[in-house]
Amino acid sequence: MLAVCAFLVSGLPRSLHGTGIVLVVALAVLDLVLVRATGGLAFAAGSALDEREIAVRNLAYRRGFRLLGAALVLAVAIWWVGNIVAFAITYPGPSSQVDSGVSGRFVVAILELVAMMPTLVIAWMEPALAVGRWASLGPPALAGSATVVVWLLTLALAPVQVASPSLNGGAGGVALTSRVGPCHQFVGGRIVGAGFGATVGTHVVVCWDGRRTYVVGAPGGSGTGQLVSSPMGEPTLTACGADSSGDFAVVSGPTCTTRISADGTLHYTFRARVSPLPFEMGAREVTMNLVVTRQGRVLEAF
Amino acid sequence: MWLVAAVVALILLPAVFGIALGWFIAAYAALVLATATVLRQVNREPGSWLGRRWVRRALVVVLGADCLVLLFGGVWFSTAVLVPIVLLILLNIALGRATQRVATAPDATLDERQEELRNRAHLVSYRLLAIGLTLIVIIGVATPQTRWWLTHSLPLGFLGFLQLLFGLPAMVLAWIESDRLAPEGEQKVGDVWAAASLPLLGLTIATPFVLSLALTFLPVHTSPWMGPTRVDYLAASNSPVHCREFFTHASVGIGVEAEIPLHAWACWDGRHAYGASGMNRSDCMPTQSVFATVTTTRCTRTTSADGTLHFTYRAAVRPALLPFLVREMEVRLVIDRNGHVERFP
Repeated sequence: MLAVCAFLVSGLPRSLHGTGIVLVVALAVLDLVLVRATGGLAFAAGSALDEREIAVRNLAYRRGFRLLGAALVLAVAIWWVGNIVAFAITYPGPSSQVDSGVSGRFVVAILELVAMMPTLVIAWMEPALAVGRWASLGPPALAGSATVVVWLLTLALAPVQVASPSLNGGAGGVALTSRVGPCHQFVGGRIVGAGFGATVGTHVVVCWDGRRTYVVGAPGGSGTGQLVSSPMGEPTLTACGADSSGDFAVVSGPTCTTRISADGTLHYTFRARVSPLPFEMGAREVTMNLVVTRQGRVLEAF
Repeated sequence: MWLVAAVVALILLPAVFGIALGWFIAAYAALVLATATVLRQVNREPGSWLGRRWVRRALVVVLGADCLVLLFGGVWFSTAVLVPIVLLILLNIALGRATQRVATAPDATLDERQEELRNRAHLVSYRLLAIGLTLIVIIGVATPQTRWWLTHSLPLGFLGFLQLLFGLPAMVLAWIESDRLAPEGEQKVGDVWAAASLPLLGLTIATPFVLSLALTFLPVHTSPWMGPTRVDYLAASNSPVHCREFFTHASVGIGVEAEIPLHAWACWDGRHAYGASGMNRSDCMPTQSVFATVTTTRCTRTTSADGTLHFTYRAAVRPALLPFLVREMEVRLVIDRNGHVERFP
């Protein structure tokens, strides 16, 4: 259980591609097994316990408090080291320019430690406890199923949140220049599932010359629509869906379409689907629009 | 002893610079050192003032407020951050004395009552910490605004979080333990240290806040100086131009204080007066602020129809510990076209 928590807080790999829920279900089942093995002593009311059990419980909370403090400090250290390792692995490749806040996997690990630390202490220090066995696998299966149901409901019902550009994710949202006119990089993202789903994001460089507005910097001219080549041509400046990641859901089919209207206004649309289950079952579609006039005025931002 | 060493290190370092920055920091550092020394000498035996529940609960409340200031006060970007950090250390020393360090004492040194109390304190502390962490998680995923606030305040609140992590059992213990009374028949021995410690601790805590409040009603002090008139001749017209140097500081506050300068040259030729130097926007900069932030609210130079020069430099001063209070300071120079100073400063 501690090993799983350490893996979750490390942030490695950068994205679990939707498999994070497997770890959460495993933790839920392990929790239930441990609670059962310790007789639920850590959560029992004092009036239901004898003197020895009360002493054991209080000792568990006393040691658990100190251990929780140490675990939280260690979790932050592991997260920090994980970030450095992830950066070293991906460098000089681009990193996400979208800030998705505190990751869901980190939250899961912290909540797991908070909820279960006294139980862990009891399970570690107590001799074999005389606790009855389960007649079937019902309770663990129920725990796992309940976890999955809560997760699916969160993904389906939680409102989609705006993810702001990352402060250290590169040149998001700053003005650029080119030989043909002023340009600006736009970064946009959405968080689906309140941190327990996936983050979809993209960044695009838009230039204008007073007659029309166009996208530049797309690698190899990828993406649909009227993409016009430009002297800039930096492959990392425009990347459709490059800022997407998902620990508990899969991001599929990011597409970016460009349409330049008769008055030279650029209409740039990003679409992606976030699916918690295989074959895009229960998927939610995310759409972001960017509209920029030929004078560089932003009519609609990500 | 390590706590005292930390206090000494924390206050000696700024005290060295305090001699250069202001006498207040050095004096406050001496007060903190004296308070820490006296607190360490307070009698641990039951009956001392630290054994009383209301004193211990007041300590817990002030500690909690100090943690909130570290988390929400926005003091991290000014020298004012020293005050809550020093208070944190002092209050922890006092809390340790007040609880006789039962929360961290080895099992063998405690009696049954103390052990039961300690265990109960840890149980309550764990539940409080769990509630706090759950709240932080909810804040982190609720809305983009709360997520942004959490991401940007986490580094700043880490010290407050560490205080709760390592000091919460002692705080709970101090809150729930009843008055520790001296055994019956025992003669109460006068404790000089105990008598001095409470006023000293109160003074140490209150001083920065009282001085911050005083900033709002103390008078503004100025020290104007005007140089002699100097006559120059313009090469183009060969007509005389008179110029004069003006120098002043406007300062307010004691200990928590701020100062804005004016150093300018004004000239006149009988038709109009004008600013030769020192009256531009870039010249309106505060020279010094201690535990306060200074914001320029007005820096204008105008010449009226009759040729009179008007220069105004106005600033708003806010104490770092009480940023909702504000005090305005102003320096003005009005000089007519014949060099007559109508107002300065």
